[in-house]
Amino acid sequence: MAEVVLDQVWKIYGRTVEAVKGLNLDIKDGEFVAILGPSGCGKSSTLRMIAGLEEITRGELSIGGKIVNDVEPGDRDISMVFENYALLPHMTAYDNVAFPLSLRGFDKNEIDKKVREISKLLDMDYMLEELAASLGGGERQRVGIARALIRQSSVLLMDEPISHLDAALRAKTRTELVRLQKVLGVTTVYVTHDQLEALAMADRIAVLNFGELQQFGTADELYYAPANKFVADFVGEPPMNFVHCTLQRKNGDIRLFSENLAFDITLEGEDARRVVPSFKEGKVWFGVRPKDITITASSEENYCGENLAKSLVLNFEPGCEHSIIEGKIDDNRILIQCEPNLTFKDDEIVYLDVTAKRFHLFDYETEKSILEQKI
Amino acid sequence: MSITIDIEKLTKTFGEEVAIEDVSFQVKPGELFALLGPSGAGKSTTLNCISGIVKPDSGDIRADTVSVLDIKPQYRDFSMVFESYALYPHLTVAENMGFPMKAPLRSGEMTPEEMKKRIQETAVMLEIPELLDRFPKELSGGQKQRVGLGRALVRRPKLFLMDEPIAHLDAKLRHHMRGELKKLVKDLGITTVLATPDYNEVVAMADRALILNNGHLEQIGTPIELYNNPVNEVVANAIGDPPINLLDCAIEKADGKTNLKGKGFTVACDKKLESVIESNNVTEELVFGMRPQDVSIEKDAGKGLIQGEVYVFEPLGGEAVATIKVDEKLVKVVCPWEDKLSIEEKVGLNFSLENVHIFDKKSGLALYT
Repeated sequence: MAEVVLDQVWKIYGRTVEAVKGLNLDIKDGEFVAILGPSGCGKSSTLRMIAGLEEITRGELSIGGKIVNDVEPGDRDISMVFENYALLPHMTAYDNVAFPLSLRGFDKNEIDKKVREISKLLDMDYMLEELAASLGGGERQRVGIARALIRQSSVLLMDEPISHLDAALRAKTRTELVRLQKVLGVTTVYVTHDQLEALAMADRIAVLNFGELQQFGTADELYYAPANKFVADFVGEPPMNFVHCTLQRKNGDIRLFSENLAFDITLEGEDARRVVPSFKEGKVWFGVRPKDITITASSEENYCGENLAKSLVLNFEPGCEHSIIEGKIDDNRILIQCEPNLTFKDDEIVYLDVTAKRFHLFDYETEKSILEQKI
Repeated sequence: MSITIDIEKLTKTFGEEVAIEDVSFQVKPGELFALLGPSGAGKSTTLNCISGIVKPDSGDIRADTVSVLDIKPQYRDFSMVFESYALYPHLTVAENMGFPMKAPLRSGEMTPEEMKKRIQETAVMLEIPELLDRFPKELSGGQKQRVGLGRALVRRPKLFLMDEPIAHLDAKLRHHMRGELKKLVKDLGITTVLATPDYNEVVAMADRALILNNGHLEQIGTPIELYNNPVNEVVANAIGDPPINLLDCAIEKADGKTNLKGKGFTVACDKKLESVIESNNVTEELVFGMRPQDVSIEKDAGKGLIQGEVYVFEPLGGEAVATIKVDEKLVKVVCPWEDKLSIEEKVGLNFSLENVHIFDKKSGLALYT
C-alpha cells in the first residue's frame, strides 16, 4: 500500500501543447481517487505519467514516499486496467490473469493459487478456460481487472475501465468495483469522463479542465460547494442552471436581477452575508440545480411575494420518478425538476422559488464561486 | 395528414433464430411510439420490416389501412435514422443531409435555396452548423449521429423510424436532444416509431411504448402505466432505474396470519395483500418486487421490515444508491445522500406494502401491483 503525490507536475507535448499544468495531488494510502473531466482535459496524460507510460515534463511524482520520475513502469509497484482491456486474445482467461506472474517466473502452484483466489473474488471461475477472444465485454473487463489485481501492487490505475459496457452491466460492474476496492484497500486512481461514476465510486475527485485542476474534494464538496462554474456545470445530472444577472448591495441586502427583470430577487440576512465581501458589485452567474427549484405558482394571480423568478415553459418531459420542465428565464435556458403528478403546457409561465433550497453564485469574469457554502 | 400504422402478427426469423414473433400494434396519427427492450429483443428487426429493408415471414404492415408489403422501401416515404449513422464518406455533412431529397419521390420538391435553408435550420437545431462543410471522417461519433439524424429530419416523410437515434451522444447533449427531437416530431405532426434500450428516453419522449423481449410483445401502454402496472416481471424489470428488486419468496401461514417468506426475510401481509393471495388461490412460489425508490433505510436494523448488510454505498449527486445484501441477494435502495452508510453496516429496510409488486414465479405474471 502506498500514497501517491504529484507535486507541480507538468506534461508538455512538443514545445507548446500543455496537457497538464502544474498539477498537485496528494492521494492517501488506500484512497480511491477519481480524475474527472471532459475529453482533452489531461486526465489520461496524468494517469499515464503515474504509470510511467509518459515522461513527466516538469515536477515530481512520488509513490510510497519515493520519487519515481525516473523509475521504469515495471518497477513502480503499480498495475493498470485499460479502457480497451488489452488482453492477449489467443490465450485463455486463466493465462491472461496469470501472465504478470508467469512473466516474473513465479512457481506454477503459487500462480494457480492466486489465480483461483482472485477469480473467486471477481466471480469469474466459470470462464477461466475460455479464450479471451470468445468472452463478452463485461467478462473481458473482469479478466483485465483480475490481471491487474493479481500482482498485489500498491497502486491500481484504471483508465475508463467500464465506459465500453452497456448501461446495465456498467452499473453492476461499478458497484462491484467499489466493493472490491474497499475490501482490498488498494490505493486507486481512476480516470473517467462520467461524473456519475466519479461521484458513486471515489473517496475524492480531482476535476480537470484544459490541464488545470479545478477542484479536488469529496463528492459532497463538488456537488454542494463547487469551487467554480465549470465544476458546478460538469458535476450533477441534470446539470445546474445558470442565470446571468447583476449583483447590487443595499443596506446589507443583496439584489440579483437579470437584464429583462424576469429574475429579480433579494438575499437577506444569513443568505446575504454568505456572499464573500471581496466581491463588491457587478455581473454574476446565479446557479441553482433543477431539483432545488420549487414551483410556487403557475399564474400571475396566484403569484405573491417580493422575489420574482419567472420562466417560460419550452418543453415538458413527464417522468415516473419526477418530471422535467425545460424553460427559459430571459435568455437563460433552465431545467426544473418537479413532482411526477404535475403537468405543464408549452408557453405557460411558471413562478419559481430559487433560493428556498441550495443556490450558488459565481463571478461572471473569473467564474469562481463567491458564495460561502456549508456542506 | 398524419398516418396510422397498423402492424399485424408480424413474424421474422433468420434461419433458426426467431427475431420477432406475432407482434401486433397500432401507432396512431402523430403519435411518438417507442419500442423498448434490451439488445436482441427484436426492436431493429421490427423497424427494418416497417421500413422495407427486411421482408417479414408473415404478418402485415399497413399505412392508413393500405398494406405496404409490396411497396419498395424508397416508395414507402418512410424516413429511417440508423444507430450506425450510415453516412456517405465521400459527401460533406451538408451533402449527406441533402441526399434524401434527390430520391425519385422527392426530386423537384424543393428549390436549391429552400433546400439550403432547411439544411441550415436542421443543423442549428442539432448544434452542428459549423460542421456542414466537413466530411464524416472528420467527425466524432456523437457528431456523426447528429448528421444521421439531420439527414432524416430534412425531409418531411409520412413516418419517422428511429433506431437508437441519440444513444451515442454524451449525457448533456442527450438530455437536450430528447426535448428537441420530441418537440420537432410533435410540431411536424409526423407519426414516429422509436427503438431504444433506454427507459429514460421512453419516459421523456414517448406517448406510448411497447415492451419487447426475445421477439415477443410483453405489454403496450403509456410509460406511467407500464411503471405502475406492469403485467409481468419482464415489464417491471424494463422500466425503472435502478431496476426493480425482485426477491423469491413463498407463502407461509402461521397463527392465522399470512407471511411472505424468502431467504433472509419474512414480511407479514396486510389485509389487501392477503385477500389478493386468497382470491388468486396462490400456493406456488412468488416473486416479491420493490422499486429502489419505494424502499427506505433504517439505521436501527431492528426497526426495518427486512434486515441486511451494506454491500456498497454510491452517492450520485443529491441522492445515493445503497446496495444492501439480504442473505445472498443484493437489494438496491435510492436514499438521501446524508444516509452515508459504510460497508458491512447492519441496516433495516422499510417500505409500504401499498407499493410492492407480487409476481407468480413460474409464469412471471403480476398478481399484485
